[in-house]
Amino acid sequence: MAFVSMKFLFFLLVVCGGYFIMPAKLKWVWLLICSYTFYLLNDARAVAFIIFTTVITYITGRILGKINRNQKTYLKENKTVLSREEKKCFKAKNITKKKWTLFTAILANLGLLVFLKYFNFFAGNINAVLSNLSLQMEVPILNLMLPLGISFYTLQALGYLIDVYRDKYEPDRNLAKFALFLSFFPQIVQGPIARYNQLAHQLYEAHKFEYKRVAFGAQLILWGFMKKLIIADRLAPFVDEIFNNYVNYQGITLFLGALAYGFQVYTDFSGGMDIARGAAQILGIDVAVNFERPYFARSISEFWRRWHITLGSWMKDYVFYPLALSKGFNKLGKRARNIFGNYIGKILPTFLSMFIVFLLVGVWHGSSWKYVAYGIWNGVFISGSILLEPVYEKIIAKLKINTKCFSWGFFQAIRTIFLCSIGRFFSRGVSCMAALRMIKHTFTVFNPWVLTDYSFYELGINERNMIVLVAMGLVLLVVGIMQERGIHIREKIAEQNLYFRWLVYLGALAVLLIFGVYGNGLASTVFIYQQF
Amino acid sequence: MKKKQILQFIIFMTLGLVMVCTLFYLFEKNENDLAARSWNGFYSEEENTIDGIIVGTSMATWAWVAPLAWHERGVRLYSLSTDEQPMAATIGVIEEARKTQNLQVIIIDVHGIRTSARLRTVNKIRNLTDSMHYSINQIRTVNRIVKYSKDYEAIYGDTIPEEKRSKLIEPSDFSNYLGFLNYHARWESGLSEADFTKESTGIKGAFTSRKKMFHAEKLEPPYIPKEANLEPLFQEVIQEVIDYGKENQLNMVFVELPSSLPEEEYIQMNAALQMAEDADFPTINFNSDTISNEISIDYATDLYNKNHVNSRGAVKITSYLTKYVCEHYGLGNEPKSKDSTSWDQSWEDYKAFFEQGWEMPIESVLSNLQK
Repeated sequence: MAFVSMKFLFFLLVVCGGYFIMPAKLKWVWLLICSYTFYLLNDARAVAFIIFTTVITYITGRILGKINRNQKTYLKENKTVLSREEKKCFKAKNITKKKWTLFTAILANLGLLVFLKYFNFFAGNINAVLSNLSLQMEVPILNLMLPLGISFYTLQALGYLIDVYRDKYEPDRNLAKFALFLSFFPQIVQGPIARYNQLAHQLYEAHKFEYKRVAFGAQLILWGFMKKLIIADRLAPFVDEIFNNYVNYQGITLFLGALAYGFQVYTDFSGGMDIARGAAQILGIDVAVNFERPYFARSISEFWRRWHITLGSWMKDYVFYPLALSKGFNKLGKRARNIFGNYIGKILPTFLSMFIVFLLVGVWHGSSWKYVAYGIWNGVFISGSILLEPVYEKIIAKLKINTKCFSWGFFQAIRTIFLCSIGRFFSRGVSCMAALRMIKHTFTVFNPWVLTDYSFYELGINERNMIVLVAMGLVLLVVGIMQERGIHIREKIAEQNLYFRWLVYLGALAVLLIFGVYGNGLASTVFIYQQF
Repeated sequence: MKKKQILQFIIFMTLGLVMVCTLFYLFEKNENDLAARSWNGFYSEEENTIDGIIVGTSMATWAWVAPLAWHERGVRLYSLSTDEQPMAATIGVIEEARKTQNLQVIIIDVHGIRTSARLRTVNKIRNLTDSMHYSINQIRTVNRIVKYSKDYEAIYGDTIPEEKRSKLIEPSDFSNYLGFLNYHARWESGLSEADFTKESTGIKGAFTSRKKMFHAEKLEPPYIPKEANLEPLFQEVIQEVIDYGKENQLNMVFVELPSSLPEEEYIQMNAALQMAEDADFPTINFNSDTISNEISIDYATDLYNKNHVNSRGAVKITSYLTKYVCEHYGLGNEPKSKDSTSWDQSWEDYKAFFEQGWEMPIESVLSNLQK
């Protein structure tokens, strides 16, 4: 059951209707039933996988929680009896126990994800190496399924486990409630990757019907549909044409394909997020914001702080800091300080951790060398910007550039869009080699006339569709600027006269109905991130 | 939720509904499509003024000249046939017509039951269902077609060519019921005045393609075997129509229009006609020597191709059938509406169309039939 379908809207209506008439005690049970129904309707074969992750994570969480509690109790009871050394020794023993417990659970959860998502990738590469070595051996390529949302709920489960390991909060005592946390239907398809302490209590609480919240949620869903159906799916044929037949195109055409893909994936993913957030908001649940207008970012690192925020923050908390603050990286930093001086020694752990994070982010997207390259591309730029920051500052000072004015900010935003678009060659290209070829042909062929000779209209977007795209793009821009200035648009509209408000809402609905890409011959595409 | 909010909500939803209905109305099937124009024309006829309808595929569309029936005997018999109309839709079409008209005769062509007409692509099905107004009957019609398609696939799935499979009706596709989903993007090809005025055909659904109606493909008369045999699934389809006719005491006439097809297809249509006869419904086989000779159907000059008559064949068939329904059902020469201007005009238009195309008076073709 795709988000963009009549079935989903009907399903949502039933879920919301049922939720508000359900007795308070049973509301979370209703949500659990609905979430599993949603999952079953989407991917019935994969339900065993989410149950596996849920049970493993729940049990491990309970074990870790018990160790934490026992430790606290023991230390409290024997506060005066134990020496400092004994306390340390006891803690160390417990940490070892916890580490092994956590490691086992991570191995089970991550192992499953890695096996399903990357086994064939490894097997294919190993077979290529074996073949090059003329060895008569072959690793079998398996017919593996990738359960819906596994990349998202696995990270959510791991985050929970690490937090419990760190004794950030008590583990969940109710398996069914915990199952709801991992399977909550609006975010199971493509996130956002929720944190237990932010989401769980909201799911378990009983929320009453609140007119304003329901209206705001519905508006957010409408906005999400507009982004997905009017922009993302309208750009899809153009992007598909260029990336699938890249050998036929060159120069600016290729670059515009990458630029269009960037906007397609943004409106597709953020549109999906708006639908998810809107659906949750109707039920009284606030799920994490995943996008903050990434195309307003002034650097790639800022772009990633605004893009897929929950993945970025997950990586920061559970990969970046543990790596950057690890003993190994500290030692490495000290050695580098001795060899390369203070500056390099200081930034090397950050630099390397950042690079690894972005490599992982790239690989998280899929099992292909192109995603490895995508990760390296982003990692190199972000790590490079950390490394070269003093150089940039010197250049800016030397050229007496005023960094506070609009034009500098505008230049930075355009530069970021440009660099991100080049990176898109890797994430959307049919292969890593294809992406490299596309980049080469983008910069080695000069053909600006394609911007004026209307040849674009033969690539999947005709003149009328282009007008719709430009108009909707402008709406998106204006909304973005307003949000950047801290204006809460839905609140602002709610302050207006009734007639104006209704005009806006009905107008938006009419625009969606007329200009949305759906129905016969205009097949709406599945959400891009759903495939990750 | 406060009372005021409930009231506001109801008003807002009502406004939304009105807006959505308006959009559904504006973005209906393209007016350039003959099926849409024919149906629009039928819907615009005054209530209880139409004497009867003819239901079938494009064969019936091409063969029926409603203005001629009006001109000759004052019969208002309208064609609700559409290109590749599925036989499973017959009941739905009749039901739709009966909503506004008291039908005294219903002519059903059985060509839709033959092998080459059994599996319809979704676009051809929508030709009909999207031309009908949104209603429970339209939903039922789609459901009947979907059920038939499912049954067909279950039995004959293996024989469906791969290239056709993707074009078949998708049972769970909501756009089968809601034409707006198929046509909301019509703004891409430009909206015209017709989209806001809902024009109907000026010649009462008669087929007036200049390229096709004035061409003859010099065909041989077909060999009509004596045998009759129809597979159970298709017998079921015919039986449903027969049962529906019996149940509602309708005057149905089952016909086999002129064609030049493979032998086995006539065996199937023979069986369909036989079933109708067994149920005491009259049948007319235009491919039989008797009728063919009676109205001087000439396969060398009166057929556009093996499936369709040209305009010369069409006037012969219309004239014969009009005479038949007048004699058997007492129709004709009793105008039911004071205003018959549009029918008179349609005859003038058709006459001009015919005479310009063949460069001969239409009466010369009809003269033998008047005897």
